[in-house]
This record gives sequence, C-alpha cells and structure tokens, in this order.
Amino acid sequence: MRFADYLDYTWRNLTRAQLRLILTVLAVVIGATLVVVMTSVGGGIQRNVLENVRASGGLNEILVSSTGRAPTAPGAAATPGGILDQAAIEAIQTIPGVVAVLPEQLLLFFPAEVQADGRSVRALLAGVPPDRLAQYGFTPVQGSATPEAGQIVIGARVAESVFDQQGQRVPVEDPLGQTWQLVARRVSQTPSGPGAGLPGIGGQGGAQIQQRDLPVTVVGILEPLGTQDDFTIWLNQNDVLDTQEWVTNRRPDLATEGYQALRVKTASTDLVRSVQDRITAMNLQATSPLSVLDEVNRGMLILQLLLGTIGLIALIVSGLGIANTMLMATFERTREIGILKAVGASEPQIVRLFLLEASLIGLVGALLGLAFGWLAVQVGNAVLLSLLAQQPAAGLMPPAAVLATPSWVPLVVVVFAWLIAAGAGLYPALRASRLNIASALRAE
Amino acid sequence: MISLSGVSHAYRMGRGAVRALDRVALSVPSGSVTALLGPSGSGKSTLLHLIGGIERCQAGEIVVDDWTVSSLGPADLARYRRAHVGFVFQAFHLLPTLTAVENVEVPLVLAGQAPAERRRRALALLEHVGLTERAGHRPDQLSGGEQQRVAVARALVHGPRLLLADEPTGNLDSETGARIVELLLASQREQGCTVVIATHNETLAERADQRIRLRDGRIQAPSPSGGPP
Repeated sequence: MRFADYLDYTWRNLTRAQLRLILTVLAVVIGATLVVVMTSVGGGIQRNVLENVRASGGLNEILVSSTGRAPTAPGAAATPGGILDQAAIEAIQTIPGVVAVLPEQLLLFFPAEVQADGRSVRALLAGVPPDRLAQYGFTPVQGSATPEAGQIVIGARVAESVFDQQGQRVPVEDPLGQTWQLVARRVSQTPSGPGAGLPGIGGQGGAQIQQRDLPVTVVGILEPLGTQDDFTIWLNQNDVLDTQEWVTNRRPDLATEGYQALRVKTASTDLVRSVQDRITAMNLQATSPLSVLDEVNRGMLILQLLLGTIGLIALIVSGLGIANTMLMATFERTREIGILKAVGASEPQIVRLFLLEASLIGLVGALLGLAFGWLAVQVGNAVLLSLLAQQPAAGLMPPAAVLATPSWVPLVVVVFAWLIAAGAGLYPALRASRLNIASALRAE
Repeated sequence: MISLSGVSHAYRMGRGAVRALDRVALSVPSGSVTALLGPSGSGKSTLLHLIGGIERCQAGEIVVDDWTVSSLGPADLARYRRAHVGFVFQAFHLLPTLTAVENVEVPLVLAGQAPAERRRRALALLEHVGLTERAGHRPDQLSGGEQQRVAVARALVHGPRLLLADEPTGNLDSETGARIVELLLASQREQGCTVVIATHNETLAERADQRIRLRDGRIQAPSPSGGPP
C-alpha cells in the first residue's frame, strides 16, 4: 500500500467525527503550547542572565585574581599563593595571544563611595596605574583616560547613576571638570581620636565613625561599551591605596602583595581558553565571561527541562485523549476493519493505518501548539516589556526580552507529541489489526 | 482445484462450543461453479470463510490451487486473500466513506498498485457490472442491487482465481437477485475462475455445476452436476 493511500484513508477517517477530532487535537495543542511557554520562561531567564554575564566584560577578556588572600585587617598575613605583582603582570603579558593587561586595585567591600554634591554615585571604584587605562583600549569621548592623583575617569553611564538620599535618580549634567568627593569611613576605637569625627553610634565603648573626604576631579568620560565598565569610576591607584590605608591603618604593598585583580585582554575569543589555562598554571585564579557562559548555559538547560516537564505532562495527558479517541474509532469501525482484512489487508497495514491516524492528531496538535505558543510568547513579551518600561530600571541592563523560546523547543515538541500520539495509538492499532474478520463483519 | 479433508470447526459459545463443521471432505474442480445449500446454521458460511482464508482452520486440511490454506500464518493468509480470492457478501460490506469506484479499487490499493492503473481497472469493472454512471456515488446513495454490483466488481477487480459468494442474493428482491446471479455466472465464464456460492436460492443452485448440501456441519450425499439447461 502506498503512503499517499495511507494518508488518504486516514484523512477520510479523521474527518468523520469532527467534534471529537477537534477536542482531541485541542488537548495536544494545550500541551504543546504549555511546553513552548514554559521553556520560553526559562529561555528568557537564560537570555537575561547571559546578557548580564556578557556585560561583566568583553568575551575576549579574562579576569585574574590571586589565589592567596591579601590581608584585609592590620597584622594579618597574606595566605600563600600566586600574587598579582609586577612579575606576574609581565609573565602574563608574554603569553601568546595576550594584547593588554590592566591591574586593578578595587574599593569593593570597602566603606567608600564617590559623591557628587552629596549625592551617592553608584559605581564600581577601581584604582589603576594612570597610563594603563588607555593602553588597555579605553577611549575617552571627553577629556583624557589618564587619572592622576586626585583625578577620576568615569564610564559612559556613571553620570546617570547618581541617587539622592531618598533613592531618587538625579543624573549629573556635564560632569567633565566637576569635583566630586571620594568618601571613606572607618570605626575608630579611640574615644577622642583626631580627624573630622562623627558622633558614635550605639555608644559602644566610645567607638566613633570617622569620615574622610578626598576631592577628585572628573578628567575624562569614556565611550560607552555596553558592559559593567560603563558604570565604573577609574581612580589613580595611589588614591585607592591611601584610602585603604586610612580605613585599615595599613597600606597594601603592591610589591609583595600584588594587585587585587588583573584584566587580561586576548586577541580573539578563540584564544581565551588557552590563555586562561596558562594563567591558571601560574597558580593564579582566572575566570572569563566565556567560561561562565558555559556554566550558565548548563544550569539553564536544567531549568528549562524542569519547566518543560510541566508542559510535557500536559502533553502526556493529551495522549490519554488520543488513546481514547483511537479506541473509540476501532470500536466504531470494527466492521470496516473486517471488510479491509477480508479483501486482503494485512495486520501490519491495519496497524499502520491506525498509527498514522494517531500520529496525525499528535502532529497537527503539535504544530498548532507551536503556533499558539509563539503567539503567546509575542504577546507576553509585548505586555511584560511595556510594564517593565514603566518601572524604573531595576538592574543596570534593561532586559531585551522576558520570554525567549529556545531553538530546540519546536523540534522537541513535534517529536514528543508524535511519540506520545503514536504510543497512545499503539494498543488500539494492535487491537484493530487482530480483530477476527468473521466476527468483525457481523458487527454493526 | 479446491480440496478439503477432515475439516472441522467449532465456535465458542459462552462456556461451551458449537460445532459448525464436522469432518468435512470435498473437492471442487477448477473453473467450476459450486452451490452450497443448506438451512441457516448448517455451516455454509463457515465453510466459505475457511476456504477464503477469512477464518483459520482448526482441524483438517484445505488446499486451494497452490495454496495450503489450512497451514498459512496471518501474513500469508492476507496475501492469499489479496491475490487469490474474491468475496461477495450478503450484506455487501462496502466501505461507507468511499465512492463506488474507490470501493472497487480497495484490493488494488492494498496491493500497492499505481493510482492511474487501478482507477482504469476499477472503472472497467464498474462498466462490466453496468454502474459506470454511479462511479462517484457513495454506498448510501446506491440501491441494494447497485451496492451488490459494486461488491461483485470489487471481488473481481484483481482477477482472483477463486470467487466466493455468501448468500449474494439474500438481501435483494428476486428480480435484482437474478441479475446478480447472471452477473456472477457471466464473470465466471469470462474469467474462468472457480466459483463457490452459498445460497438458499434453489433457482441459483440449479445453474451450478455441482451442488453440495450441508446439514449440521456435515455434507449430505453430494448430488452430481445437473448440467446446463
């Protein structure tokens, strides 16, 4: 029997009980739609996480930190391990594929911030050797990229990330040339210590919070990059070291303790892994947005499978509907099955006829479900993005899409729907094929 | 040549069994017309079903031409029915969703014949039974006699060597029935196939080369050919 003939017979039979067909297909459609929407939720989360990872640096960059820990409190010793000193920087620069190295001394976790007219500038504070910023490829759109002592260079979007004490965003107009303050605080145990002391809080043994303001002038604004660097303030490394010394009473020694972090730029993304391996071999810790991407992708696949399973269960339930419909069909068509067999239809031919019928229900349902799912994702994105646009931006990067259908979903939905439908049709098909011809012919 | 020896068949009825055929032995020459006579329940239909491979033989041996029907498995039985046998039923048994010509085509569709070729053949058979202008009608748009003519065309479309008819006139008035009988006999003469007809119709039986009478699943004294009138 030819495939076109199977299709023809199947189609005629399918369209005999149209309402029942529609209801059965509808169940598959709902299941398939649910799979699409659920995995799109996971896909949306994945896309936003990935975009945040990408924003943390260029994909051709490697972030290096020392495996030893610099002392954060006076008197504490550095733990043994590779340090990011001048020798390490020079060694990394000689690795083939490395284009530039940027040593950073960060004010992360320090009670320090930059203020503009008493308003808090929410930005990452990084101290660098003044000449290194331009060498690393940062280009100023205004001013220079060389922060000398008492100077700062700001990322493209730092000026819009300024907030007053009520938490309202108050962007700074034309920041170039303005003088801001690098504000640091420390807790002093001396009851009447020198300096511009503030009244102590809680009256704990006369502990006082002291504040130091260092004026810093904005000497450059960098071009926008679409990464975290747009929200970074670059300081002269000596200003950062001074601040750290003031807070902890101990000046970090770059010669013996090294920098806190290095940023390494490679010539291309293909070289990232090999350079990363070489750096790791130097007893240094190296991470790259590229390797984080791999891990995120792996984690997100699990999330999507979990979400997709919910839709899949609906799809499996729809399989019960198909099984019921097909079983009804074998009962109703008992006599016709008998006739077909009497005029020479073999058991495999009957099985194929019924399996094809079940499969068509599954496939049509899956395709319609994909279409509805796609529609739901478009509508969902339009609605959710317009809602998000009305809210003040929660993160640094606004999301491009809330729902994103992973590329593997359509194929998986079609294959699964088909497998479930064929599985559901198997028993009815076998039952039909094994009908006794003589008794089938007597059936009404 | 059809030859049966020691063929017995029983149906399960509740917990018991009803013997439909009891050690039947008979022989039908190729190209002949044989009438199976007997009251309802005498085993005529069962005998036809066994010869036609519609039911599997429980005991005894059935040989039809080159086919040892009694020892065929399900797949070979289907092939035997498709290639060798044409069936005409009392209740016509046409497929309700198909038109007359499509019903006639079914055995050729199952055999995988190309659409153009099988359509040409089916239309020729419909012309043979005088239903060319009804080719596009579905069974519910045809009279009983027309439906049975479609069934005869379907039974002959693949050129079977054996034509089995189970009460072919049973659901028809006598005039229509007579026309079906003429059609069957004419087809037999043209195709030279072996014909076995189960019938109550004595007029039809008179036209057969041999008559076999069944009672309670056993063959009564076979009557020799009455010959053509």
